[in-house]
Amino acid sequence: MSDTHQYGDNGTKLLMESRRSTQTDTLMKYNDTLVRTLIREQRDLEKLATSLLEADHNLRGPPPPALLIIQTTINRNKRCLLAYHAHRTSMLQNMYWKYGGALPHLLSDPDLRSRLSPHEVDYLRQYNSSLMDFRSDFTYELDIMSGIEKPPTEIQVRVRVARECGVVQTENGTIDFKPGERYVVRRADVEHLIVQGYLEEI
Amino acid sequence: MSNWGREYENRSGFFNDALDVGQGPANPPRQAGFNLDEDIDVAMQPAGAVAPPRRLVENTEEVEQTPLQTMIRHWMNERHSPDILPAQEALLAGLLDHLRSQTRNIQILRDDPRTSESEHIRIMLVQTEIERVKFLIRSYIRTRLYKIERYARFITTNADIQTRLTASEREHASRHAKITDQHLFLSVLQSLPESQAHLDDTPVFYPSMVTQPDKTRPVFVHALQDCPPVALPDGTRLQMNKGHISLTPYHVVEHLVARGEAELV
Amino acid sequence: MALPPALRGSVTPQELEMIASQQVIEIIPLIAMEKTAFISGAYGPLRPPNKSKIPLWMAVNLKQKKKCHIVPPRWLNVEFLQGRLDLENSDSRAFCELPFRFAEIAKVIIDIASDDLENPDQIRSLLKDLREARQAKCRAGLGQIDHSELSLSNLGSMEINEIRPVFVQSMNILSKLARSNTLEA
Repeated sequence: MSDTHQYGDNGTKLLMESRRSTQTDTLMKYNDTLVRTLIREQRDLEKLATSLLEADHNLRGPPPPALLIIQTTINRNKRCLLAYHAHRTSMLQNMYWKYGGALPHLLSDPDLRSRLSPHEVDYLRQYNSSLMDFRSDFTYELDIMSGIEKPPTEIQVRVRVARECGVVQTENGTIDFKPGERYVVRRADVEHLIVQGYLEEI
Repeated sequence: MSNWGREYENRSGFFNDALDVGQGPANPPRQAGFNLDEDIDVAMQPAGAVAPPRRLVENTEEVEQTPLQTMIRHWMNERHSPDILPAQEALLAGLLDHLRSQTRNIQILRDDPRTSESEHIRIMLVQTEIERVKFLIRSYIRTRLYKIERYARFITTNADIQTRLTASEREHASRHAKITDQHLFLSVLQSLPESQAHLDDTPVFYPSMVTQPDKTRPVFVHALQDCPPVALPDGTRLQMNKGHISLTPYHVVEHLVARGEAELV
Repeated sequence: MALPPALRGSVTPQELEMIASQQVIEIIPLIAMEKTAFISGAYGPLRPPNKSKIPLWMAVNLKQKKKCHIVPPRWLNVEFLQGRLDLENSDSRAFCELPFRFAEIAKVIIDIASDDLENPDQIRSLLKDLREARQAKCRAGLGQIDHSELSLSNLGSMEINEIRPVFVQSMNILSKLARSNTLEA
């Protein structure tokens, strides 16, 4: 086997994926293969460490250098694995908030769905659930999911219907949004539609 | 039109109710806003006054702060501070109450068919303010939420920081820590050998696995009044007089911010 | 996460403008309005042509609907700003006194009510010169930064926000270095 890679290469590969995800602002597909490879590597390293310890009869001397290297690698790999997963959940959280907490909308996107591991889907559901609990503490008027990037100047906004969204309930009654048409509406009533891409602000 | 005002005064309390029930400041609220004048008067002092820090603060303590102004200050403090500051539950509740009553007042006015153009404008202004205040409160809550989720694991084991959270924030932190731990367990840890399967590593040269507030992070601090001297990292002491602005690690001025003697900008 | 990346550890110019817009300004109303209790306080009555004091955000709203004229604050004019600029240039280190939120307030008024200003172009130009003079001093201040403290009195809120990333990061790094020095010693 002309494997010239060194300990920690796989861990680094995982981190590089995280870095690429951040740089392109896109969540890459969950790299199940690489994760499994790393986990296998961890088990092998553990066996190696154990056998080194058993072979080492000099209990009062310093540990064999090989053991230090292996232990360091184990620690680093573990950290890489955890960092990779934590980084992804943080990106998922960002996405969740960006879409105003519309979980069904997020999960119904087949492209995104295919990039998540089953555990990650569970995580999103649990995250959403916890937030729904938290959110219920505030009156219905204060929707914490609404945007916090653009301070309100005008209470009304001009929009164009980019995607079919049907009849929408607003404070002033119902509006039947026809695709391609323009409307002047209260921002608070339609913000979630803008965020999800049904309406376009003009 | 002349009697109209009276009708609404009686019906919706749109005029001075808010003040009568003590929701406004003790002084006539007009004062609270006149700080631009105050700014100007100080600024017009003759040259040579370059060195002393100016006292062009928006709201000095001589003029009592309205709840909204106080909320804005807490919002900014929370945004700039690496730590989580004490939750302003009473203040928030008061503002939410005020929002509700303003919304009710609008509905009454809107339902009235006699509404003239100037009334429409008044309604629009009140609505705009409602949206402004909601925005602010939302942002405050989410600023805290961001930190709470980041430090969730730390929070579950630190009694001190827990005292600064509301009950629902504490519960959310606890749920969040659990969700996160569980996810890492299912995705990684449960497949690893026992000796590697925990989240309590303390290796050298690596950051801790438990993210906690970094109080050494530098912040811009603005003295709202003459402050007692503080100890700087280089061993010297700094005396900030009212209006002074400094960049310094958060822990240096943490207590001043807590006491309201300084704010973060 | 609950805070979008742009808002973590910093404030956006829009947020600063929003905060600055709470400040009260004088207007000449073109419509009448009864005294009204807002959350910020009670404002009005508006009785044209009498001047009145209302929050800047309200003034902006009315101005955009052509329902008022804005009376510029006493510092937003050529004479005053020229004086400040001279003062600014006369001292190589300290910043001259300006209202804390002068940049935000000036921007808002110039944007929507330049017709209520005398010499808006010159005002713009003076503000730009002031900004540059003060920025130069900030850069010099960056050279003096250490791990402990840097005094920046009289700097405006928008100016602080602009230098924030670099200054905080610099002091942070110096701070960490200082701490590791003490550890080794």
